[in-house]
Amino acid sequence: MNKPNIVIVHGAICGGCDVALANSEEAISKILENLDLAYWSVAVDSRLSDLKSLGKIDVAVFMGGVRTSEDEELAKWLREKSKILVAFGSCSAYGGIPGLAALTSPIELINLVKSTITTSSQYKSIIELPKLPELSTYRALPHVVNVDIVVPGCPPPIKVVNEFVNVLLKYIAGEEPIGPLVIAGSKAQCETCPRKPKDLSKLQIPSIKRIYEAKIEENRCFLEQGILCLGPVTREGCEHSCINVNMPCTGCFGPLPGFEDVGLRYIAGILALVAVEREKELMEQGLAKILDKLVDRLGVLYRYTLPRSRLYMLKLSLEGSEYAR
Amino acid sequence: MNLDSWEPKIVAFLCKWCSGAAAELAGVSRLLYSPNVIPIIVPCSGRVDPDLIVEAFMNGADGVIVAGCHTPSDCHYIAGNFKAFKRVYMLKKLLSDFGIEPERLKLEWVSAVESQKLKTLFDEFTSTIRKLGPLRVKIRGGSV
Amino acid sequence: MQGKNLVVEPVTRIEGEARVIITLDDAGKVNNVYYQVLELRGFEAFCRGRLVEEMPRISQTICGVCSIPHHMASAKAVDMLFGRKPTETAIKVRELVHYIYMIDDHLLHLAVMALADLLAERSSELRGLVDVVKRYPEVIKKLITARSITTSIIKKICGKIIHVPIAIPGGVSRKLSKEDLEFIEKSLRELRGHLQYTLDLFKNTLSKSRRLQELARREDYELKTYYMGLVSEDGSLSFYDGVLRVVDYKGSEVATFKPEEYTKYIAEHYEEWSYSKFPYLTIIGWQGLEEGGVVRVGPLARLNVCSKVPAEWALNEYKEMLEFFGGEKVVNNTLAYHWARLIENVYALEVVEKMMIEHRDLLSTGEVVNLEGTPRYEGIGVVEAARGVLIHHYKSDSNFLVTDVNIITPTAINNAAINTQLKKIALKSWTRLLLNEDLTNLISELEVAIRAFDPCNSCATHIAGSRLIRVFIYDSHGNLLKVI
Repeated sequence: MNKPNIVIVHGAICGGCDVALANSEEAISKILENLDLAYWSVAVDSRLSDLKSLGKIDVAVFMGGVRTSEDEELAKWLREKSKILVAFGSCSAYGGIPGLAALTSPIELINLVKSTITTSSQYKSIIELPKLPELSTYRALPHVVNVDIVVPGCPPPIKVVNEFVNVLLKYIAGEEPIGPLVIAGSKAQCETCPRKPKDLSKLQIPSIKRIYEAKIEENRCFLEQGILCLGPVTREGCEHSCINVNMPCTGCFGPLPGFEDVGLRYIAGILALVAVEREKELMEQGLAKILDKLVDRLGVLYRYTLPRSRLYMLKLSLEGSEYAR
Repeated sequence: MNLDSWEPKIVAFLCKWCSGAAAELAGVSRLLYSPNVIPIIVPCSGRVDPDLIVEAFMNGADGVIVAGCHTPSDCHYIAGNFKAFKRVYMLKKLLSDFGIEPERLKLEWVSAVESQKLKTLFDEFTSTIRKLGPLRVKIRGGSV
Repeated sequence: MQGKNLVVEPVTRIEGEARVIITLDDAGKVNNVYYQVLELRGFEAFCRGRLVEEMPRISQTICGVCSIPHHMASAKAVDMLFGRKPTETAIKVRELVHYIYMIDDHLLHLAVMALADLLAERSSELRGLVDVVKRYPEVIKKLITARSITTSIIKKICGKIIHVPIAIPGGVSRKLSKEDLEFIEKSLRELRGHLQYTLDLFKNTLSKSRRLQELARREDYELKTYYMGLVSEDGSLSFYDGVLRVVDYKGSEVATFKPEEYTKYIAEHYEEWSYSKFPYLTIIGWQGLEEGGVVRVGPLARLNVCSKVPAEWALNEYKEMLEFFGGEKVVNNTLAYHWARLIENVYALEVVEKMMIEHRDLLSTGEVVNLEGTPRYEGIGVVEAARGVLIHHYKSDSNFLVTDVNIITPTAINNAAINTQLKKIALKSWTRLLLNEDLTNLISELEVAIRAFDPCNSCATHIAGSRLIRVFIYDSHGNLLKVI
């Protein structure tokens, strides 16, 4: 059997990307038809030793962030062995929601987890077992190794999964990869948003409202309602799945090309427009009061992309950590 | 890093119409000010992208100043200074979120004639940064 | 000779990553088995400082297989925290999505994880999805079609299938349109046939497979544990709302309590060797990994705990299952989990069908959100995920920023039981272990038991990461002897 092989491998996952792949009948059948699915723990009984004994790997799909030293070793090993390496899902591509833990040290993480209201360690443990994988600096995959394809989304929607498989088959058939290729649009969500105001130059963001404060109006731009939607700084490609059910975009498709730091871009472009028609009336004090409403900057601006932020890069470089650009 | 020989590196973004002009005036008036400050002239404080400020930190700055025209009405481009205010305000909070002292970024309004104010700003800020030490990041539960 | 450890890494066809470690004494006899979960992302840590109204969207990324129950449990906790009673419409929309999710998740488990175990004529004959697709393509096709129905209903209502955004404090972001309603009704009619197919498939396979019948009757696959599940006020099987009830392995009620009181009844034990904690019942106390002291949740537990199944088709199927296992009310054999899943699918379908008749108007008209309420700054939400009881508990400051998070997932609750089950099987079968032996069948027996629980390791650790279950063989000094 000389079909090119494909392995699907996990870093720090939630399982959603596995299900996202399984949800696409088209993708699964094309994969099974054209490729040899050599490793996918969720569905196939291959052991890690089987993976490690593969001579070469044609396609490696990496889901999840790089959280432990084992994840890191696996990522590097895969890059060496594989022709095509794919960062599948927002965790792998950008860090994802678990990236919000990146600014907490591993020891503190474990302490916090142990300190929840129902956790008690009053019973002594007498079991000595092989050590758990150690937590290291959290990173997205492109920060550890170069990747060829990025499939964004939390998780990637079926349409994107299908497009990804088509691209994969083209590469396998001999087309030259020009990486990293991102399977998403290169324009912002606003370009095709059904709620796009007629005249963007007249867009007013009157104040900052949290979604519990008022009824969210359907069919009206969220920013005009004061609700912080990340559409302007996020790639399109998801067909506005959240916006269509009357919820603002939270940025899972990741940053636009050339504007990799979502938070800084949002501050520069959107937050600077807050109360723009009342600046002289409000003055610094009044403007500060409105901006203070954004109490959780990390969770709103960097929910999926914190490890890709410039300030995180700054942290990594100051502490001498390795990271690929 | 040898802390004895360390000197704060500070980048100051000055708008050409107000604070930049004040810097010119300071020069012409032979006012001595801290040599740790590297001035960069921009057309307007509103031109200072948060990216630029972070870039300065990434390239070795221990502190950054953004100086523009007084609010409400001095800005040559009408309301660029208000944009600068909002951006710096949010970025300072973000620095704090990432474990960097927000005092390392300062916004000040300096008009074209306020050369003395500019000198004082540079000198005092240098002293602040000297006390804070070289740039570093303090994460939750971790060592610096 | 020193005692040895045997480690199975990764356990396949489960969600997330875990390994099984079997410790041997000097004579080569099994003296214990442990199920070690390998992931830690730290939700209970990094969710602090987040906007509490965003928790339903954030906390559900603990798990991409059961994201909807996390979303719903979180939504209920947030409702309570804000002091808002959700609107009637919102409750019905959430319930509808939740019950459809239940079918979807159970079918996913069946198709991708369990099928190879059920259809195999010999142990380890089918090594997962690829083999099943080759040998039984029509079965896979049918299950895929069934799941495309459930996923498309979820997508229609929620915009996405996984990690949905619709729950807000006091309600949901939208109600159903007329088009949605018609689509759902049409889909439910199709789904009926598919669920009938899965039950027929299971029962036919069971009646023909001596291997399965043996497993279902083996004493070491039986665990006489406590069971906990959500029931409505009248004791009916319930997935979204209700009270928690605990029964013992004979079916006697041990406790009933409201979700808000859970801290009086459930505590968590922390062990250094696993990233998953060990919740236990405080009235029993932590007795270590002993059959008599652990509690189980999930489909089998829910059926054991409830006193009513108010849906005709589901009730008939349930009676068949009880008869197979000897007629007692409580079934203790772990393999029965698979059957219980299929019965629950039918129940969920009948509940949703009823909802579409009785509450059709409510789903598409009425207020979606209630903005009134006196904040309590603390909230607890409990639902039944596919795998069992799920608890979300938050505290916030006056700015509605999260200060404390406690999440107890069903797989964590089952953690002790999984360990206990593995130990029982290993102790019975592995009387003498040689390193040179082909251990595949023995390991398969362990994994078959694990898969019956349908563990979700991303949930169990909601702390992070994962990698499959691997088998390491160590001696008692920690020297690695063999890796499988």
